[in-house]
Amino acid sequence: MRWAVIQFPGSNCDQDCYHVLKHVLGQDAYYVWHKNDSLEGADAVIVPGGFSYGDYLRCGAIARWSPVMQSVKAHAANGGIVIGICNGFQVLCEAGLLPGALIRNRSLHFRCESRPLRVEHPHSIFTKKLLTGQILDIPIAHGEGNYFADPETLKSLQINRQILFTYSDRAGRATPETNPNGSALNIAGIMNKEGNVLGMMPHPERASESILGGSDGKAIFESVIEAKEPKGAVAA
Amino acid sequence: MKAEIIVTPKQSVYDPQGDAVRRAMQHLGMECVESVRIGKFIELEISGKNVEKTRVKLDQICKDLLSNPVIEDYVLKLGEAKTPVSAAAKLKALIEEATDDDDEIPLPASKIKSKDKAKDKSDKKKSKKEKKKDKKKKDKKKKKH
Repeated sequence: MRWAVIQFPGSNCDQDCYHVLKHVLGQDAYYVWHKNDSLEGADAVIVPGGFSYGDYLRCGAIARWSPVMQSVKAHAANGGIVIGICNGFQVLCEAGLLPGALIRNRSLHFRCESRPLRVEHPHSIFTKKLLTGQILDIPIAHGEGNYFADPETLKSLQINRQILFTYSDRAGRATPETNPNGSALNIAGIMNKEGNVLGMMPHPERASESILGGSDGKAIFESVIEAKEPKGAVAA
Repeated sequence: MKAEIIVTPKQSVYDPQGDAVRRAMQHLGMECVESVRIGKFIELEISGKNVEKTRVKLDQICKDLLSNPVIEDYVLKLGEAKTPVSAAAKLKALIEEATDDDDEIPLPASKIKSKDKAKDKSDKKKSKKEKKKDKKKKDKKKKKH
């Protein structure tokens, strides 16, 4: 699979994503600079974490208007896979590819820690290799990860089963105590209605090698690979 | 043209920053402050004279870039006046007045640059004279004490 990793000025998780895709998962990964308006035939696009354009104005507000994002929008509209991680999630919300917005953490603290995430269901290309209620240990690192949407949007997210990951405890209970940032419904990750765009605040690329403390995040990338490539061809 | 845009969090959006400031204010003795909401103030200088055309364009940019309609409201003020139109301008004028009265407060670098050199020099001369006067006054006061 061809994976385009977008680079904005201020991106800082681009190399982690590239490394995991290229060296851990053996994928055809490459960078695409924000001024480039071509995705060079990507099957999937990663909008990585960081502080695109210094987070000026609002997180992701300026990045969404960059030339490359117009191509990402077209790619998504054609059913192409897009994964936004952390700042990438913020960019996708600003771009209107995902509903809602990410605002300042309720605590006002920048939270940087590993968090148990509950997988809501496996019926998506992003959670295909996971189980309902499975707990993943994936780190978060953000100051603006408080997911906000109006009540109607939240309801439609639930009805359409767009919520994929929630902040929970080890037993899978999602409570205000297990919510690190004040997100509505403890939301950590959602997909669009069509099921081809994922946005999540936790960093699966930082949890894809056991030598770095855990590999729970790898299953998300593997799910996409399995969904897109016929079984058996993955190993090649 | 001058334009001013005020962006505020929507009433339905919790503003943790505002809430932290509210608590600090209450802690400092202003228990009467019931709510604080913090937004952004954006000041623009725009070339051209077609106010209505600019307003339409600017209004769209407010929705697309300067605010996020999911979480924020905005107010746009646009005027032909050379001087800014609102509270910020008044505040600026007040600060300028205050700094002119008291030479002890250093002027911001940007302000000194914006003034004519000739004026600048005369200001400095004045200020030196005034400083001398001030010193004399202070000396007198000291003696009184």
